[in-house]
Amino acid sequence: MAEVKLKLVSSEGTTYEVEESVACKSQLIKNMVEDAGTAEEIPLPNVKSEILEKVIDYCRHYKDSSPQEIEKPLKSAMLSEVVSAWDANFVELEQETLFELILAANYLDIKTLLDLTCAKVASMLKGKTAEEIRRQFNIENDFTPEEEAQVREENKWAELE
Amino acid sequence: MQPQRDFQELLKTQCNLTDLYRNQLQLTTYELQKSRGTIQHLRAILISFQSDFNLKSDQMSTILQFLQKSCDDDTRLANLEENFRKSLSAVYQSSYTPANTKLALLPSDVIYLILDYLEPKELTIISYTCKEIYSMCKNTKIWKSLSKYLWKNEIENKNEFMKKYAQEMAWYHTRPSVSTLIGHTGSVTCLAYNPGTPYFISGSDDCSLSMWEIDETHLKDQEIVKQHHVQTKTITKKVCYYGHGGPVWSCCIGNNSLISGSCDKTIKVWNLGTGRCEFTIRGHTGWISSIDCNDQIIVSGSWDSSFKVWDQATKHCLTTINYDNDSVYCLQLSQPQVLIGLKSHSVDLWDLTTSQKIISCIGHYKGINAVKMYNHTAFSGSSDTLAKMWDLRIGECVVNLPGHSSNVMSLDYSFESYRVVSASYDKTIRIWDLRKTNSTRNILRGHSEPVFSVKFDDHKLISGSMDQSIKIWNFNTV
Repeated sequence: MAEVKLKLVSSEGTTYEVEESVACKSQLIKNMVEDAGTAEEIPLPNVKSEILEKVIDYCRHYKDSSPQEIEKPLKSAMLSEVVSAWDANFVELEQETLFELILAANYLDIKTLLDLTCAKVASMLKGKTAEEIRRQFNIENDFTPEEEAQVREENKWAELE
Repeated sequence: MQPQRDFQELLKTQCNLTDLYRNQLQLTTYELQKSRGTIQHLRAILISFQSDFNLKSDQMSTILQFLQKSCDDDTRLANLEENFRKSLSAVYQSSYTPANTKLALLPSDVIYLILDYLEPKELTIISYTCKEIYSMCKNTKIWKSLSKYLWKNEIENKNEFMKKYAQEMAWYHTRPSVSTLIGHTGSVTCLAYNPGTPYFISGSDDCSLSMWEIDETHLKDQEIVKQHHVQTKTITKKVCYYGHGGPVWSCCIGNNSLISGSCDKTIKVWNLGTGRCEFTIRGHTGWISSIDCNDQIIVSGSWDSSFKVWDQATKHCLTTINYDNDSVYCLQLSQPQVLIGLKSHSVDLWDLTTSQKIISCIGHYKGINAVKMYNHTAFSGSSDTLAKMWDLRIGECVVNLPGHSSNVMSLDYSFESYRVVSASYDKTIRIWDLRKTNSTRNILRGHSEPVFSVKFDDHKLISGSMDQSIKIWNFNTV
């Protein structure tokens, strides 16, 4: 018997038919299926089509296996040295898409994808100055120069590695 | 030309171009006035800048379209610079605040997940970026999990983490204060020290052993211990153990007793407090190079090509394992196993319950002077100048610690701190961090002759040398 397919509906209203075992990599979907069965459409109003497609790609790739847990703290700013080539390539995205993927993984409750995307962001933070990080992630510096000097002083101990 | 400079300023300040890009741009604006061909050049540069400008593809096509139009129209070309500036500025304004790439818009749970992947230094740097992230970085949860990864145990809060981290960094980045202990009249060949106890034992080629008392409260007083080559008041020789008829090469501390092995081929068991010899154990027919014990047994290794297991209570020999013409240079007991370092370059793991060899670790090409094991991990120091880390389950070398220029004579390791210390004939002591094995983290110079023995705990390191002295290297940051 062919595997049951679930109908996932993106925020734009596009329907994706996905094998149950793939879709249930998402803890959220798995819970919904357990509660409501597989017949009905599953609306995912928080997930855009573009992102949902990425998520489905990921779940399909890890249908029968699980990625290795990512070692903490990250040893390298090159993600490809820490995770598999497929994983590293998968999160090679525009920052905006990456953030949307993080939110989707968080919402859909796919732990390994959330770990991977968060590790990707962490790798982007590695080896950067505070100023570079502010620029890349749109962080507004709300410290006064005095406050910043004080914060830097009290954290001097951590500047060695 | 003024407008041209403005244009560059705009790009420079708003886009924060790197020098390389800046130079390219300078070239472009210069050539821009000369020909349309350079518009293609600008196009190419824009495309390569796309990620720096944080431009989305639709914004990109707007600019490219604008450039294309300029190509087709001479009046536009004349005003190209200004128009381009306006166009880029407009796009840039809108693209620079793409709300959905703001870190702060991620749920805090997710931000914590990201922070969890960072090391202390990176966490600190990101905490400088803004108040919100600064206060997130103070969260105990982050430091707890980081301490679990760094030290395999959890700390209470960031403050405690800070103390511990500062202490650890002291090992790698500071010069310790050194006190030198004089008393032996021969090379100091071996040390016995159990971290947490206020004393340690040294054995020497002068045929004696000594107990030294460390007064920790005074050891913190940097001024006192800073003097070199002076026996300081804070460290006193408490007990001497006289009786061996030859150089003492090995010692260990058992339940309230001191056990030593000597070139006089005997093992002596001493009363730790009084210094009286309570037993002399005979059996080996060669120099005794190494000794270790627990509450039940004593294991001794000898140049007579054997190691023997003795009963602590009766002092009778329980087992003798003979090698074929191969001196035992060093050993460590880890019940029910014993790790043996041999003249023949091999590191062997034996099971004492079955008297069977479990595995041989082959890789050194000279004799093994020091071994140390913890669970499945073993370390060895060899006359081939290398220290090696082994996986005892497969008998293979997993890490090489190269750096010494002569024989590695002694090793110590602590599982919790990932720290390995090696002492060498090259007169130095090297400190290694197994999390960063690509190079030595610190080198201690001070002994005027080869260093034969080394032990360490949280904040201090003790070394014994052929220069007849013992040095205490104090890294205490408190």
